[in-house]
Amino acid sequence: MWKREKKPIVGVFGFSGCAGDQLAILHMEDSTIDFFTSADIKFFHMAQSHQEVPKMDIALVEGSINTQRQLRELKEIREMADIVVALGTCACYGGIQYLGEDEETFKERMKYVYGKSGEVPEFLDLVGKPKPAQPISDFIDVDIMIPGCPISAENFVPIYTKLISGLLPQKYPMPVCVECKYEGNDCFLLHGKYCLGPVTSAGCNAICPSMDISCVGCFGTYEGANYPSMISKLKEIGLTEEEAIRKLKLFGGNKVEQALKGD
Amino acid sequence: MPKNVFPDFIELIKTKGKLFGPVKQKSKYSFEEISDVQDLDFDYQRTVLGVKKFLTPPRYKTLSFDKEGTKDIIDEPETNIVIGVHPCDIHAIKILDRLFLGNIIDPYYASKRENLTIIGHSCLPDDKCLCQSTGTDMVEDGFDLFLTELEEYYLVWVGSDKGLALTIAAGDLLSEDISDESIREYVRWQQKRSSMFKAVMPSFKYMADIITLNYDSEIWEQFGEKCLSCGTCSLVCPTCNCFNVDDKILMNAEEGFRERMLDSCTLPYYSMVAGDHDFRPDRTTRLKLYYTHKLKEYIGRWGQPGCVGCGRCVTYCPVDINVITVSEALFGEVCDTKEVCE
Amino acid sequence: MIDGKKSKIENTYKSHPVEILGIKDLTSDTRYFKVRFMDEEMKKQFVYKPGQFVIFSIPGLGEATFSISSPPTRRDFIEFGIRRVGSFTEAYFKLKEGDTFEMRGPYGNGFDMESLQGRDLIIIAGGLGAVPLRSALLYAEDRREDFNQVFFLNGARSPEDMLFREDFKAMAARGILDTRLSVDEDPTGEWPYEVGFVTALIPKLAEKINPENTTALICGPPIMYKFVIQELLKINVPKDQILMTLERRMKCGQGHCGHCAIGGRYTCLDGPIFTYYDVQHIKELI
Repeated sequence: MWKREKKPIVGVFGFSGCAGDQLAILHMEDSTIDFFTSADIKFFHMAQSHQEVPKMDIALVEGSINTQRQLRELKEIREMADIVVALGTCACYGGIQYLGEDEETFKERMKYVYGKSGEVPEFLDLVGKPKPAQPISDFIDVDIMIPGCPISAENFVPIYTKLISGLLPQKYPMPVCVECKYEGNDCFLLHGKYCLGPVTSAGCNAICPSMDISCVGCFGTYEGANYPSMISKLKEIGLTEEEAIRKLKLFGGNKVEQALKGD
Repeated sequence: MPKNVFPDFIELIKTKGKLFGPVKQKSKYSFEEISDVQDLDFDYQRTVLGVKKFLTPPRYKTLSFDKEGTKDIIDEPETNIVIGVHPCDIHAIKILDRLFLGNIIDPYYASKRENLTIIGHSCLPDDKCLCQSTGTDMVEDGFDLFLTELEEYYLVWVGSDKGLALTIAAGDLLSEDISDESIREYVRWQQKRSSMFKAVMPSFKYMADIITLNYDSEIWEQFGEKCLSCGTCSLVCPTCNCFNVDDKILMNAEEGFRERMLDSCTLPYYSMVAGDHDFRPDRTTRLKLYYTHKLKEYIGRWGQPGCVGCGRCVTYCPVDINVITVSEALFGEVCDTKEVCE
Repeated sequence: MIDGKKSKIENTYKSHPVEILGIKDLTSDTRYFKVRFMDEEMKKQFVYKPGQFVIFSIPGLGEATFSISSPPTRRDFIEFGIRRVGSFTEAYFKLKEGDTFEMRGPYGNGFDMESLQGRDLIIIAGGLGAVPLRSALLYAEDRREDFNQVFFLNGARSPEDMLFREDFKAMAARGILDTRLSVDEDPTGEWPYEVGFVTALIPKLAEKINPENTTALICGPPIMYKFVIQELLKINVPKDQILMTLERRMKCGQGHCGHCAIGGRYTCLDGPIFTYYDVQHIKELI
């Protein structure tokens, strides 16, 4: 077996999001204890009290970037880490909150929440002035993306363990459909029901379709996604173009935005 | 075999190994483990996954390793028996056998194959079955037993030593006396079945040539534009066997396993080599690979197409790219532009 | 088992440990590895042809294919040249002398050197293509009497980028093979051999060879093939005597995984050596 040179130093960081990916790591049951022993976990937002950002081999970064202060912290993490991993769909693609990336609607919503000025009052300003959410790759170089809402242990562990062994995981993009067929499921799209499996990154083991629930795309965009064809398929089963695009954008974040503009 | 002893026959078979058979699950059929004969439903056209799920399972471990060394994971101690397999799926197994048990034997496949007993079952086609055109509607070997269902009897064909052992074990449940009437009924049934095929594709015979003539046709682009690169066609195809291999390390970073998983040539990195050079970077060339390999190159190499006409791609492709639509489009293209059809 | 029989199945995926005897840098991103099987039986059993490849394995890292760079005429060790291009090769650059890994093979058709006896050979390498062709070259040097004339044309971007530079210079000095080393550019101005594209060396051979009795062995970056083939055709080398070695993604090496399929051929079984005649008849080959 491959012998690693050292036990690497790892930090786990969280920005805007539900912290579900950090929680998923703590909920890996058998693997959770190994997580804390197989690498030197120097920083874990959710599991430890706050510390200085250490010099690290690997930084796992959850959440999207919403404030200038987060951006400063993110850049500091990049400086201090050899490898930065975007953990979860928010960090990878912006997540659900990316739906509010449009400046105008963002201002309107700020007014709706904080009153006429649309400004966060000073006494509430704990994380810096909010701005529309963006994935971390909009600001720094990201080495590895592990999407998921939240990440799944089956997908996360093999990628992460390669990294802590000093290896780089091989990228092989697949859509949810592959795992769905591994499970031997029928296809929703054939029965007039929407499903975003064909444009969504695999890694979830097709858990929703296997439970008879359509894929909503929570693992973010699949690199081989064919959006125009997907949209016409969704229209064929009765969605309007607007509805189809809204569904794609729910978790697709910046990648769907770029694809729809570019194609 | 009289139908009334069929439950006894099933009970007997269950003593010989783990029994799987077609089971209805909402909108689909699947080969599932059978505990009660009532669960079996032979009135089906196709399962989502064919028998390949027993022979090249979607994901399985081939090797385990730790700091001390490695250990092959080859032997499967269980005997699996699958009942209700249609002729097309038996042909598909023969194609997989040829590939995996040819000059170089794949040990993982070989052990699974050796542990699998196949009991075929007759079927009636729907509008997606094109096995008549692919020449795989009848089967003469590749099974251990084959049951043809008539009004009151099953005609039982023996295809191997394993099958023979089963019939000997079945003893009085089976009778070697077959009445003339049964034979006549069988012939009538065959004639009825033959006349039921709707997806008749005479062009299938010439598909190798048609694909060669159409290599640069725009049709590929049109299908490429529609293709979702979702891999469904390959995964449900009973003869698609391509796999990927990945080593996975456990969270303790001290042990792991090598895993083989079914792959699809329609996925974006299928032909990527080190240094990120991709020989098939777009959907069109990948789709062309799928169909030329299945419908042309198989004929060149083995004398028959890699399609057994099971209709799975016809059923499961969400955007209607399948052996029928592709073959028809290609045939149409040759007809329209090259004036060779009449 | 229902019929009570159980055959013993041989594991064709079995890898065998090798020990790294030597490592040195060939260029800034390419490294030389000299290895030897640890098992005495394997040392004896492992026979191969130039142009064949093997599959390296390190459990945890995975498997990948590499061309053999040493000739079958030298049996004490096996040599490789590995360019750092991805996650897999990156890991091999962390290995040191004395480390071990596993290997299975050899795979592929390889060059059938015995069938080329008495012929004129033109061996043309570009860049990393020198790695597999070095096996054929050293074979030709060791069995020089088997062949008529043997030319070796090697191209690299610059002197710095030429793999096995010192080896090849020594080869030129030995003069057993007609060795012509060419660099596209020579910023140092001190390159004692040819400057320019390797293709420019081919017309010069027109007078020297008997085309009907000539076989060309080519390996290089995909872009090189087109131009080299054009030149070879101009000097009348037969299409089925232009042998080229190609690269594809592979996961098994034995015709099962499907990744290396080109048309109806599998690169791992029917290749990696194909002729120009094949290329003309199999779409997508180059």
